[in-house]
Amino acid sequence: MNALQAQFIAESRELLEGIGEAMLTLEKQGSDADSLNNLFRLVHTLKGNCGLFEELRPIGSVLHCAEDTLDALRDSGEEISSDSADILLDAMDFVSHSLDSWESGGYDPEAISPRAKQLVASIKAIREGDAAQPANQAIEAFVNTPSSTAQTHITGWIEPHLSKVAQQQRDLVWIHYAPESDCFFKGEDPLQYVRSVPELEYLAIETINPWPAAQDLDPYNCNLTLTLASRATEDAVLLVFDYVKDQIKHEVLSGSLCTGEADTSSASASAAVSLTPEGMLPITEASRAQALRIWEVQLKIMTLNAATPTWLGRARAAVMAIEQLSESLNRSAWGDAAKEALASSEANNDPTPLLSWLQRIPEELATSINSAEAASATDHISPNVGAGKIAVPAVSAEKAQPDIAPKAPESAASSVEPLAKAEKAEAHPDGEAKQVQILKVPREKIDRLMELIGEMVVAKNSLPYLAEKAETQYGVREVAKELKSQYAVINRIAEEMQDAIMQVRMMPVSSIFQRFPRLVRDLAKKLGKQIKLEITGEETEADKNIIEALADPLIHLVRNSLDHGIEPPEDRQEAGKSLEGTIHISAHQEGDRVHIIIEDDGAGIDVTRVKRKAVEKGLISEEKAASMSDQEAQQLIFLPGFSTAAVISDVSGRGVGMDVVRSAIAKVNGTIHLHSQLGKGTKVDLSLPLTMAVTNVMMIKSADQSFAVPMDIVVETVRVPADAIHVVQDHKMTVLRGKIIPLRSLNDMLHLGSGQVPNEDNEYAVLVVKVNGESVGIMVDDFHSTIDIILRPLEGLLQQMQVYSGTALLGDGSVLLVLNMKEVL
Amino acid sequence: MGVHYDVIENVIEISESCTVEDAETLLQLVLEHDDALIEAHDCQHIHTAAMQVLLAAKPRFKSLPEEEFLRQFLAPYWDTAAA
Repeated sequence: MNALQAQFIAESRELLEGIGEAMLTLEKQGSDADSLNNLFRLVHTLKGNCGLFEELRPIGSVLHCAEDTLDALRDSGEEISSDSADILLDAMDFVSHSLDSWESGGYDPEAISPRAKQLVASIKAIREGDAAQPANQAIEAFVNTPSSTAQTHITGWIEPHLSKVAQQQRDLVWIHYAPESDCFFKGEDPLQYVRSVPELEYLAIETINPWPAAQDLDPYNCNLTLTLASRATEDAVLLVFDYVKDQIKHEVLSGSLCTGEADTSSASASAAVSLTPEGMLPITEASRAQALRIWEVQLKIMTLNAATPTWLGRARAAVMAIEQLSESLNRSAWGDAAKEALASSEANNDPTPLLSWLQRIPEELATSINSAEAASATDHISPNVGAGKIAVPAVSAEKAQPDIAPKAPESAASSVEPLAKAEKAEAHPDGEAKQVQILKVPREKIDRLMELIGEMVVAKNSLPYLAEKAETQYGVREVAKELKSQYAVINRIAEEMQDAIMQVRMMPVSSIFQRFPRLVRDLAKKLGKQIKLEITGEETEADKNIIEALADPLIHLVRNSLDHGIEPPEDRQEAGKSLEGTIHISAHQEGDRVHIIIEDDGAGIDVTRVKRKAVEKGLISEEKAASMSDQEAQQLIFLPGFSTAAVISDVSGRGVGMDVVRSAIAKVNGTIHLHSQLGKGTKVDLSLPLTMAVTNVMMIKSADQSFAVPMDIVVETVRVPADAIHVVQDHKMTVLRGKIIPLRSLNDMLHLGSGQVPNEDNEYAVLVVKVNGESVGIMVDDFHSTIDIILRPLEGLLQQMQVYSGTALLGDGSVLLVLNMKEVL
Repeated sequence: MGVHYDVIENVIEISESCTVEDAETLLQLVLEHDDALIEAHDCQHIHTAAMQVLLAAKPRFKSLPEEEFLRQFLAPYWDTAAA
C-alpha cells in the first residue's frame, strides 16, 4: 500500500465516521440546512477522494448517488425519513467494508458491483420517492432562467449552426464546466471529459485569471473554464460529467426553439435567421424590430471576447447572418457592405473593421427604438440582451470589450467561487494560522519517540549509580555531589518529557463512544425496543492503547445491555417503567485511573437463573451455588462458557461472552465490576489505568535474581517469622491480623530450584498481593524499592512465557523481569 | 514519455499521449527552448494541465495533431501559423 492509499484510507475512515454521526443527528433533529450541508460536504469529499482510484469506481458510484440524493433533499427541505436513513447508512457501511477489504488486499471491484448497483437503485428510489418533484423543479427552474451558460456563447455560435440544428430538430445541450483549481490532483482531466462528450459541437476554452509569465506558470493549477455544446441527449452528456456534477451548469435548448418555428404574427419570432422572407417594402414595424435584434446580436457576437482566437469564425457567422437578413428584407446592400468589412478584417487579422461597421446600425432599423421595445420583440435566445442595452454601442472593439467581455470570466467565476469559498471557510475559519495547529503524525513515530524517552529515563537512572561509584570506589565526593545535582536536572527534564509524550498519546474516550449512537439505534430498531442513549464525560482522556483495547469490550457490554438488559416495551409497561429504556454511558477520571460506567435501567440479572445455568453447564457445583451471595452469583457471568441468552441473536450471545470482556480489560490492567439489581438495572464499572506506558513496580529478590511485581496488585509487605507459618493439608499459610492468608513460595512457583531464604531474624519476606479479589502471600527472599519502568513486552520465543508480563532495563544495565501474578499463581 | 526535445530538429515532440506528468516536462522544455517548435502530429490526447502550458506559453506549432478532437477544438487556440 502506498502513501497515498494509506492517507486515503485514514481520511475515508474519518469521513465515514463523520457521515454516520451527521446522519444520526439529522434523523434525530430533523433536517436543518447546516447539518444537511455538512453531511453533503462529507459525502462529496469522500466521493471525490474515491475518484482518485480507478478500481474504487463502484464505491464512487454509490457515494455519488448518495450525494445526489442528499442534494435533492437539501433542495426540497424535506426530512430524512428513518427508512431513507437506513438505506444511506447501509450504503455507508458498504463503503466502509469495501474500503476495509481494499486495504487488506481482498478487494474485487467485480464482486462488489452488483451490491453497489443495488444500493444505487435503492438510494435513487429515495430521491424519486419523496424528493423527485422538487429536484426536477430545480432543474427546470435553472433551464428556464434566461441566464447564464449559453448566454454568452449562444449568440456567437448558434446562428451559423442554426440551419444544421434546425434540420435535425434536436436539442442542444450546453455545459458550462468550471473545474476546481486543484482538479488535477484529484485525477481529473477536464479535456478528457470534454472529448468524451458525444456529438460535441462546440468548445470554448476560457481562462479565469490572465496567464502569468511562462516561468511563473503552475500548470497544475487549473485556470480554465470550458463551455461546450452537444447535440447528444441531455443524459448522455451529463453522464460524462457524472463525477464533477457540482462543477458544471447545463442548459438544454430545444430544437424547435432553434428552428425559428415560432409564430411570427405574434411578433415573438425567434432571432433565427431563416425567417420567411417577407419581402415587403417598407419594412414593417414587427420585422424591423426583429431585424434590429438580429443585427444587435451580431454586434454582440463580435464584441464578445474579441481577443479569443475564434473571432474569425464568429465574424464569418455574423456576416452570414447579416447577409441573410439583408436578403430577407431586400436590402442586399447591407450584405455586400458586411462582406467588405469582413474582408478587410480578415486581411488585417483584426476584428475592428467589421465591428465598427456593425456598430453603424442602418437608420432604417435603428429608428423608433422605443416603440420597438414596446412591441416587445421577445427573444428566446438572448433575452437578457435588451435592445436598449446595446443600442448605444461602444465606438471601438477595445472599448466595447471591457463592457461585455468581462461577462464570461464573471459567469465562470461565479460558479467557481462559492465552491472555493465554502472550502476555504471550512479549512481555516480563522485564517491561515489555525491550519497548522494540528499535525497528523503516524503512530509509529510517536511510539518511537516514546521508546526513546523511555530509554532516556533508563539511561538517566544510571547516574545515581555512577555517583555512588565515584564516592565509594574512587573517593571523589565533589564529583559525586555534582553528578547528583546534574542528575536532578536531567531527571526533571526526563519526567517532563515523559509527561509530554503521554499527553500526546492521550485520546478522548469520545473516539469510541461516538460509535454507540449508531449501534444503539440500529440494534434498538432490530430488537423492537425503545432506547434512549445518554453519554457523559466523553472528553475524558486516556492512553491511545487503552482506548483501543477498550473498544471491543465496550461494544460487547453495550450490546448486552441492549439485548439482555433493556426489556421490550410491553414488558416494561407491565413492570411500571417508562416505555423507553435508558442506557447511560459515562466516563470520568479518578486519580490515575479512568472509570467507564455502563448503566441500564433494564431487567437486571436474575441471580437464580444465573446460578441454575452455571450449575447446568457444570461451571459450579450445586452446593457452591446454594452458598453464594447474590453479588458473587452475578460475577458468574464472567465465567468462560457462560451465556444466558435463551435465543442466540445476532446481537449478543455469539459465543464470546463476558469472560472475553473481562480478559480484554485485564490485559490492559483494568478491572471490571458488575452490580445488578433484579428489575432495576445493571451497572458495569470498568476501571482502567490512564496510561500503560509507565508502570510502577516493586522490585523483589528471590533465588538471587531480581523480579518486579506491579504495584497496583501489591497490598502490603510483611515479614513473617518462620514459626508463624502453618502447614494445612500441604498448603502453607499464615494468619495476618486475624485473617488467613495462603502463602506461596515464588521459587517453587517459578521452579527456581532453591528454597526461600529468611533474614537473620528468621523472618520470611512476604508480599501480599490481591489477585482476582483474593489475597495471597508470596514468599520472596527480600524486598527492594519501587521504581517506574517502561514495560516492554517479551518478544519471540519468550512471548510464550506468560508468567512474565514483560521486561524493563535498569539503570545499571541489568534486565528486570516483571511478573504477571495472575499467571504465576 | 509523452514529451521530448529533439536537438537536431529543435522541436518539442508531443507523442501519442501527453499526460498530466508530461505537463511539467513540457513547461520546462518550452522554457528552455523558447525558439523550438511543437511537433504534435502523432498526438492523440493532451491533458488539460499540458494544454494550460500551451495556452500560457504560446509556443509555435510545427505540425498539428491528426486526431480530430485536438485539431478541431484545441488547435484554434494554438499558434499554428508555422504549421
